Amino acid sequence: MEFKKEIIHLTNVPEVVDQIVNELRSNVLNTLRRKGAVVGISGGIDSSVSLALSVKAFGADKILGVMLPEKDSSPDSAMLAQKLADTYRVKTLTENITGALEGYGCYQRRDESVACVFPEYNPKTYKMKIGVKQSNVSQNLPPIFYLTIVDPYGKEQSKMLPAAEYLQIVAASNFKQRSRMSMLYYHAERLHYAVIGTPNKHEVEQGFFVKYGDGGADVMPIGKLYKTQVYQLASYLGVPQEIIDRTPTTDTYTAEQTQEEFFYQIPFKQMDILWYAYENKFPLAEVAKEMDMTVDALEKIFENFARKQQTTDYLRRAPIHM
Amino acid sequence: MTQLNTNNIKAIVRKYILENGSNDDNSLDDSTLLFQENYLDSIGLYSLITFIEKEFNIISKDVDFVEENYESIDAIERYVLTKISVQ
Repeated sequence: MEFKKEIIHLTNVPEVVDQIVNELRSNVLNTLRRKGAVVGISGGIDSSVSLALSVKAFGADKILGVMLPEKDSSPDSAMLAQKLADTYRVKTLTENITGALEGYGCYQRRDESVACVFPEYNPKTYKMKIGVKQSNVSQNLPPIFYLTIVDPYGKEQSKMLPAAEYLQIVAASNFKQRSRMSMLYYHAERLHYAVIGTPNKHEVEQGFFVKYGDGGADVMPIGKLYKTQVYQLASYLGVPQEIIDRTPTTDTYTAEQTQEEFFYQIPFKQMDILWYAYENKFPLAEVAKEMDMTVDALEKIFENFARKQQTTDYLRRAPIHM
Repeated sequence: MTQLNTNNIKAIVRKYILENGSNDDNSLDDSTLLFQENYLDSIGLYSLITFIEKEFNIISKDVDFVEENYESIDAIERYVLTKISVQ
């Protein structure tokens, strides 16, 4: 098969939707023996498509959409999630997890590490985020995370995160996804429903999820779809345009941050095509020509993909039974 | 800080990588590609940067975090010697 950029586009969206819906229904009703689905909705494209597929699989009356904001969440997230639920006439609940996170010391533990790097950081007036510099993708080195703080006047400062502070910030922030998972399972068990996971193919395979957080679910209907394909399904399923047009964000740190800035380092449209080429082992020269890149640059990106897959293997592993 | 020479730097870095890296294969030599051969992962790189800064009393800048400075023990030695001479 010849390698073309368009290779990533689904040409049979209705059939793909039917296939996912049938599998989802069979998995939940027959394999898991649950009678409906709980979906955490954030106003992002992935949870929106997961909810839309769930509605098709089980009917709106067998779905509970749960919004799980905390004090760092963007207000847009709740507004868009509600709009989604209204579109599909799904019952929703809002569970604010700020209190639980305060109980865990999530914010205090995170801020303590930020202050180790920037002593002037005041969590009441400053914002913060962590991310990878885009230039890193062309380096044959693992990603190096930077901490950025934004002062009350909007001035940004960035520094490389030392190992201990990086690990503590990530570990503390992961309380957010794990608390959400815990709340989703509360509602799922209360209703005898299954929890629908929302990660897409990149999140699963590159390890952009929290183990036992957003990676903790009973079934993941879009886990094999590229982001481009998720958008194709969104349009077909009638997801509100504002959600489709929204730039994917992490909505985890106080300063605004795109997923590309935090983790992927490559725009998702380009990443989809490159990952497809990488996964299907297309010849480097053919891919480089089609993508207007050098073979050397492409090789480094593929090495970066391989490293991400390898270093995040731990996240995808189930407990080792001995 | 102890008096440094080429062998010193390499020996210190090698010992650190063997003790803290994720590959305990003793075939590590000065030109082994540390990340391609899985001696160090992402967290390993962070820890190595912190270790080198403390051990050799150098301050890294953003432009220093490149493959040429960290890909092997040889590269790390060159990097440390350059930083020491500049500082």
